[in-house]
Formats: sequence, C-alpha cells, structure tokens
Amino acid sequence: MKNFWTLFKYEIHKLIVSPSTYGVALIFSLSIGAFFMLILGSYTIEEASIPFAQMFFRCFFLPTIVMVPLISMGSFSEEYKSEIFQSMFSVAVSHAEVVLAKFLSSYLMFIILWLSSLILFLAVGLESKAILREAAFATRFNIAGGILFICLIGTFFVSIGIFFSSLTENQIISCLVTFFTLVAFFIVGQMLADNSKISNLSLFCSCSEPLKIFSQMDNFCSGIVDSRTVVFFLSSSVLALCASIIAVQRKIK
Amino acid sequence: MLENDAIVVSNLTKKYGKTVALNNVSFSVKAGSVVGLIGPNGAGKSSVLKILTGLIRGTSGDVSIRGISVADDAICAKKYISFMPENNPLPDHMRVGEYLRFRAELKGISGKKIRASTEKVMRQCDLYYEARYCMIKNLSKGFRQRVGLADAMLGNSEIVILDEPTIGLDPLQIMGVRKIITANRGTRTILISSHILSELEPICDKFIIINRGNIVASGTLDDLANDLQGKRLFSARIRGDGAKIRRVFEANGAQIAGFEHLSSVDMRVNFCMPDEKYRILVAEISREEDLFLEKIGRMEFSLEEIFLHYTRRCRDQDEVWNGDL
Repeated sequence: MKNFWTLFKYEIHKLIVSPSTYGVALIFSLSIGAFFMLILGSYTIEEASIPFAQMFFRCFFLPTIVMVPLISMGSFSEEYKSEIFQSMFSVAVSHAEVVLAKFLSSYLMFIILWLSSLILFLAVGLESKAILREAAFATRFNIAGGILFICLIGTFFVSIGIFFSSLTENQIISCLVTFFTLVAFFIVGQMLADNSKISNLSLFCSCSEPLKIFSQMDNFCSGIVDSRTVVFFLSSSVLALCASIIAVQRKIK
Repeated sequence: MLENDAIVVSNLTKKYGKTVALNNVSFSVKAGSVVGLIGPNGAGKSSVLKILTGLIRGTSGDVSIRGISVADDAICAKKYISFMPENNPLPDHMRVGEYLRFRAELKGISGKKIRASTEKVMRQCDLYYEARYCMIKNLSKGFRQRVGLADAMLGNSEIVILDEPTIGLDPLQIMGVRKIITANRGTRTILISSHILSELEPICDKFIIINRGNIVASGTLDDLANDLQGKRLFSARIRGDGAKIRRVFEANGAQIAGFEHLSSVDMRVNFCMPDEKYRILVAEISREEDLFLEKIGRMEFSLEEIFLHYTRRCRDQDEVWNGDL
C-alpha cells in the first residue's frame, strides 16, 4: 500500500481540476437548497411530529441517487477509454491500491458535499436562534445522526458506483446502471418497510432491517444506532470494492 | 538461462479468441544491450511488450524479468521496468512537471531525489524550458511523445521498454532520442519496437524480427545478413529494355529487391542471389546483344532489406501453402 497516498493525491487532483466536479457540486447545492427551503416553508412547529432535521434528511435519497453516479462514473471508465490505465499499471502498483484510491477520493467528495449542507442549518440557526431552541427545530444530535447515516450509506453507494465504473469503458452506461441500481435499492427498501407480511417473517426480519432505509434514517436521527445496519453497509461496501478489484484484474486479459 | 539475461521469454503463446497473436515465441535479451523488436503491423510486437510489462497475460509460456516470472509476481517484476506504451496515453489534466513528479513517486524515487530526477529527464528530452509548466492537453504530438519518453527514462529502472518511441518526432528530436538511448547503453537494457527501421539500425546491438506471431530471425545485423541462405545483395546499372532485364535476372535465379528506371533505357536493379550464380548472371547479360552492363557491384544489406527478406519469405511460404491447398 506504499503507493496509495500518491494515487489518492492524483485522484483528488483529478477531481479538483475537472469541470464535472463543479457541475455535480452545483446540481447538489441547488437541489439540497431547494429541498431545505421547501421543507422549511411547510414546516410548522405546532403540527410537526418529528424534528426538522429528521424531515430534511429523509429527502437525502434524491440528491444522492443523482450525485453518486455522477461522481463515480469516470473513475475507471474514463481511464479504460483513454488507456491511461496502461501507463498506470506499467509501474509497480497493485489493483487494490488503485481501487481504494478511487473509492476514497469519490467518497471524500460525497462527504464534503453533504457536510456543506450544514451551512444551511447554520444560516437559519443564526437568523432565528431563539425559535430553534424553543421548538427543537434541529438539534445538533438530529443533524449529527442524519449526517452519520448518510456517511454510512455513502460508503455502500460510492462503492457500488466504483464497481460499475470498473466494469465498462462507457461512462454513460456506468452512470445509468449505478443510478438504476440505487433506485432499485430504495424501492426494495421501501417495499420491505411497507409490506409487513414479508418483513416480519422471523428469518427475514433481521436481514431486511438495514434495507429499510427511511426507518434506519429516523433511528439514526433519534440517536439509535443499529449495529446490524452498520455491519451491513460496511461489509457490503467491502464486498463491492473486492468485486471492483476483481473486475480491474479481469481487464488484464 | 544466462546469468546476465535481463529478459527471458520462453515458448510464449497469446491467443485472442481463436486468433493466435503469438505462437510459441522464445527469445532473451542480455543485460545492458539495446535490442530492436521489428515487424510489420499486426505481427505481435505490442502483445509481446504488454506481456513483458504485465499489462496482459500470455495464454501459455513464461516471461521473466531479471529471473522473476511476470505471471507469478508482476508487481515485483515491474520494479525493474519502465514502459512507454505505443500511443502514449497521458492524463490531460496535469502539467508536465506535475505528471513526472507523480510518476517518480510511483516509481519509488525518494522525496529528496524527485526534483533532481524529473529535472534531469526534462532536460534530456528538451521539455525543461519549453513545456515544464504546460498542461499536457495543450501539448503537440511530438511533445507528448517526449513526455512519454521522459517518463520511461525517469528513475533507475534497469529495463526500459519503448513501443514506437519516435512516432511524431521531427528529425532533430529523433537524434535526441538516439542520443538518450546511446547514453544509456551498457547501464540499462533497452527494448525498442519501431516501424522506422533506419532509426533502429544505428542504435541497436541486436534485432528480433517478428512476423505473424512468430520470431522469424534474431541476431546482430551481421548475423542476420549472413543468415540469408548464403545470398548476397548486388546492385547493377544496365542499359536496355526493362522487361527483358527482368526476364534475364529472374531466369538466372536473382531475387529482385528493387527496380528503378533512371531514364527510359537506363535501369538500376538491386538483387539478391548466391555468390556462385552471380558470375553466371554477369556472363549471361554480357551475351545479350541489346543489354549493356554499365556497372555492377556488391552491396551491404541494410536492416530494411533484411526485414523485407524475412517478412516477404513468410508471405511467400504462406502463398505456397495456400496454393497447395
């Protein structure tokens, strides 16, 4: 792993100078700002049953399913196409180092963008401190729990994006397949949550629990951290990254 | 295996589906030598080089770099290699200096030496003053080639593999490449693949001619010339009818390598034939009343002629086999 740091710096540099990074950041900021304003506009302290932060973070899936494919699509696909891959692997670097560097750089961008959403809370908080305190508008714990869950689920989503990017030379295909996989993931999670007959089957119950994304998000925002969810997403991320390493190795025919 | 063999390729076969790109290829390269790998398009040169650098795997056979099998431990073998791929892919988002620093770090050059090493190769490849701060995406083809070459020469890799390094370079830059390669002779093993044979001729110690996935000849220029089945290359200047000249030469077993009309009646013929038949041919031409032999003499085989001989022989053999079928 001695080349990991060099490769990580290279990937970060690539993200910094790429115009598409700024495009993704702009789309993300606009969409997250719009959601924030819409929810804030309709939020009334008297009628609300849950804190504002929890309500806001429930909308995380929409920016995420758009952002993750856009961040990860170029990781491998672009380099396969331009054959930079050849010069990259002509020196003594391992496939695992390359995959990990690409994953962590994309994940770092994912985290930075989500952390930037805290500015919105900060701005509203500064404007109306008294109201916030009074109505538990968005306690620090709600926000921390929401961000923690997004960071956790982000490892899985970004690793899925990296995996699909490692399979194809076409960025568009990589982007679309990642997008539809994430959409399917949310739909399945929602179906499990809605259909209590399936999800309450004793064997299936504990396995399907982490897939109920929205109830997990609520739990994290309320300060309940389910260890099954943590293990599920971290192990799934490792699995997706291992699959990416194998896919990159398979490119050496 | 000799102790000083830097590269050993044994019975290497590479198949892409049903297509056989390399067929039981074996050769070795001595440490410190400069070897040219030549062959027509699609001969399998790039496949050999990519297998040597661990970028693709051979179907069967073995490739070892300094005694380390590339198939068993590619990462360890790559520590001895610098490779410049054929189309020289470079990341467009970096500056030349940044890219070379990045490559130096990947090659394990220690932090203190990175600056000195990158500056040295940039000076060698004429990049230091003109292109050090340029974005790679803005570079011309020639400059990109020089960046690739600088990358290959960076560090202390014992083996440098260059796939078509002079494509897109002007004559002055080609001379610069020659100078760099010559300066590294003896200290590094250099394997170069190129189509431009005149560039390889003065710098290579040994040549490997590959055609249709097979090694058809290998050795020094003298070895290859002597190996042409005892044939010699001759050049004659003859006055007379072109068609008749061809007829007489071919009837006496001469293999015509070049036929040039100097004027309507003056022809220059380069031909190849065994020494003993040469005198008979001269006597035959003298006997013809309408042919006047102005000048005839022996020539040295150039690499191009040797290359053409071996690759043409393969083609002729194929044609004979196809004809038999």
